[in-house]
Amino acid sequence: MIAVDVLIVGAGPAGLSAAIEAADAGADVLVLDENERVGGQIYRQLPPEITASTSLGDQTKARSLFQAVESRRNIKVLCRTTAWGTRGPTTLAISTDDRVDDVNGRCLIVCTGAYDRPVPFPGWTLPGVISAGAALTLLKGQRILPGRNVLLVGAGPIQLVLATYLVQGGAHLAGVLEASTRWALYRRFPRLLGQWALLREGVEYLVGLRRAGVRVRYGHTILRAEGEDRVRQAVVCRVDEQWKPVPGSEKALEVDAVICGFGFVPATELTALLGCDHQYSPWTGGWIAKHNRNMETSVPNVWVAGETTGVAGAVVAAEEGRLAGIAAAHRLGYLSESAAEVRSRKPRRRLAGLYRFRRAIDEVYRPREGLLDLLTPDTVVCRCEDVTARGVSDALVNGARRTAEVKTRTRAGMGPCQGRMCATSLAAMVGRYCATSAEEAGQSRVRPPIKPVPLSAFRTR
Amino acid sequence: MISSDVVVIGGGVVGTAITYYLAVRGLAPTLIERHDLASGTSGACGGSITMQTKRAGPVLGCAIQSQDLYRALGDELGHDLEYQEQGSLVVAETDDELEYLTALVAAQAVAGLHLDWLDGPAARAWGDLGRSVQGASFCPTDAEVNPLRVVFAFGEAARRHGGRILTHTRVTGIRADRDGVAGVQTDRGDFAARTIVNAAGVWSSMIGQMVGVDVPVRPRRGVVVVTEPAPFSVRGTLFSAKYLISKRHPVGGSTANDGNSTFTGGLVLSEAVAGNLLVGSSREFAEYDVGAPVDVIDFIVREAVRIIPAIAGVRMIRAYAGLRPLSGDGLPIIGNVPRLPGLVLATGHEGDGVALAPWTGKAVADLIVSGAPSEELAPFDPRRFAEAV
Repeated sequence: MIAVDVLIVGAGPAGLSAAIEAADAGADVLVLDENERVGGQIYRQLPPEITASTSLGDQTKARSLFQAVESRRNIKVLCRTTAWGTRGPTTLAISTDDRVDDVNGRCLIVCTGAYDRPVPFPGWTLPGVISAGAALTLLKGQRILPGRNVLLVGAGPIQLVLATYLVQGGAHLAGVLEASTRWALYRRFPRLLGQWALLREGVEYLVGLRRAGVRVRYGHTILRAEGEDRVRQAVVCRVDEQWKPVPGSEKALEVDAVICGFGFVPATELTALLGCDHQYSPWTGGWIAKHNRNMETSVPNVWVAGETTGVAGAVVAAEEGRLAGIAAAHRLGYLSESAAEVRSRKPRRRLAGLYRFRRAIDEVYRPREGLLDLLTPDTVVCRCEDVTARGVSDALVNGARRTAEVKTRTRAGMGPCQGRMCATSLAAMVGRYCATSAEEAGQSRVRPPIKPVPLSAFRTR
Repeated sequence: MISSDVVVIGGGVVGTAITYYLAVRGLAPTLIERHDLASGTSGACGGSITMQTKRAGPVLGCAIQSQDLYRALGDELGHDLEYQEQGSLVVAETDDELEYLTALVAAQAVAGLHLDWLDGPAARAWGDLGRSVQGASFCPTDAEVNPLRVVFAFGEAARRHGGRILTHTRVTGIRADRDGVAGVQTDRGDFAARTIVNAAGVWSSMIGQMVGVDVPVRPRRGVVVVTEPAPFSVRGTLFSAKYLISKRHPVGGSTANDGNSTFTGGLVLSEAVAGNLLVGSSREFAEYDVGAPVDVIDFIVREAVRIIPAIAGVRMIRAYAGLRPLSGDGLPIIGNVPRLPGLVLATGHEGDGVALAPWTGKAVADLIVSGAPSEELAPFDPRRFAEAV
């Protein structure tokens, strides 16, 4: 059993910012991460054996964060480590380098991020059709272009970032399709004012893309991907305000890769396992752990920060991480009440403005019901167990009323991904059929292991 | 008010089987289930139909009859139940376990069940088993079935024969009058019936309490770990003798808060049709908590890695937990409640619900149709808990 003052799961901007604050106050900190190196998804680094002459995007923030972590002796980082279960309120079962172990933190900060919101449509399981997160991993972590002639579909600012990286990498863009309408964005524009840095970033991406001859087409999305062995062609179409395909607007595009980025879903398996209270928040991606203004959950000594509290980007994640790190240090007596309050002031002030900005962005890009109309009966919904939309419909017709019951009847969600690739679609389908909300359709029960663990890790040595 | 010949409470394997056999006999049964079919114990169990692990005595006799029914059940119901006779192996790793297993083989032989004895090398060669395995007993006719398919097939066939299946309907009360039970109250209306079958498994005590009948059944949790599809295949079901011993000598009636482990268990391993390995299992009193504690998973997996070392090459992807309805003496409780005419209990099967379901369904239907319990039901008569029911 490893024991530390502050245990942090996830080495993205939230986790690292929390680590720095807690360490600066004097706490011993351990950060766990599944990847080879720290950075999380947004600040993903190349593995040491790969060097690149150019960087993708501005690296200054990431680099100063990494340096700040490295320079603090009371921060330890354990990479290639999966937290797969819980042994107590703040004790985790981990697997690392083919071994299992337990780690206890007197305080625990969960910064597990988010994963891609999967949106099934005909052909989404073809080779060459990948998620925005997977594309980022390929580009940032391996410098691999997903294709030479790439179609981007989805919703939200992540599309601009990806398009920029792809252009930098030399790919041709067959299109950048934003499902939201231009009007949905313009209408909320006044509420975006004030967050100048973020706005400037967005405008810079747009201007850069325009210079490269790339235009974003609003109110469009993909209808289906086609190809025998891999994606060769994409049929795209116009969509209405609810993202419902407009009949007669179909158009075929030659492509060799499709990147789908319809936003992200907070990763709440760990907070669910810890017994934290959750709430359904369609604005921020789905179920999130409830927390107070210091980011502490309903379980004492367990905090959350970053995308796992609702998807809001790296800047918000870092500020939330700071609050959590400060609060944990205070709980352990490393900071007085007043010192913690003083240190929390700035992040709190920044967050207030950022949350306003984010709310407007979420209103523009939150997933709309029309996405369900992309499904045909033969569309695979659960790709681990090969369950089609027809299979799910049959289960509903035969009497299933909750996602857990659909799971029992179809095996959807029983595969290695544990529903990460289908739970949101299932909840939406159940919600539509039973005329209830995705919230009422129910959260699946979470049990360990929340991530696959090699059984070799349990060998007696 | 809707009226039925019989109301069956509980949509698990036992309740659906009873409803099916009642419908086949021409009665108009109504099954009432709080959630969906198979959403409780039957949806969170293994599917082994093993004779060699049953206690010699009434349970073994009924299990053998039940397996006979299973052999023809898929055709009868018109559904593939994934029934396969691939045998079962029980391995012993210690001297005590060898002794236990030798006695088991002898006892089952007396009961008419022949088991093959495999010495250490033969046992290990059966499936590339670990060095700790010192011997094993093998029953070639033991089988496996997909319990979910069984439940849904019974339900569908019951409906086809005129039975009514009401899911997502919660029983809120049982009405009784001078003549006995009179009907069931639910959140979706009342149902009149002069016969009510309590097949609510781990919840049967709660149903009993609605009419002041104390049903001595409590939930005992079993955890099963699921791996990704393995590159090797496992024939039939593999048990460790440790598991059978733990099942019959329950410890840990206390809560999990005392810091010591409160569960017992051993290895039960089989391969699902999709190729995933189901690795169980534990026995633990944890009220109605269907969580899968890490210490139980850790124990089960270590048992598996020791007994079948090749499993170290695969990953576990999930775990599930099911509550098994354990009766006061470990035997099922099937029969009339003398104090309340018309109330029939069919519960307390613990881990044998799937194996015994066809026989139970048939026996309960016979009991209701004939009105008098057969000799065969005597060992399971609720009256053995005289002061309770």
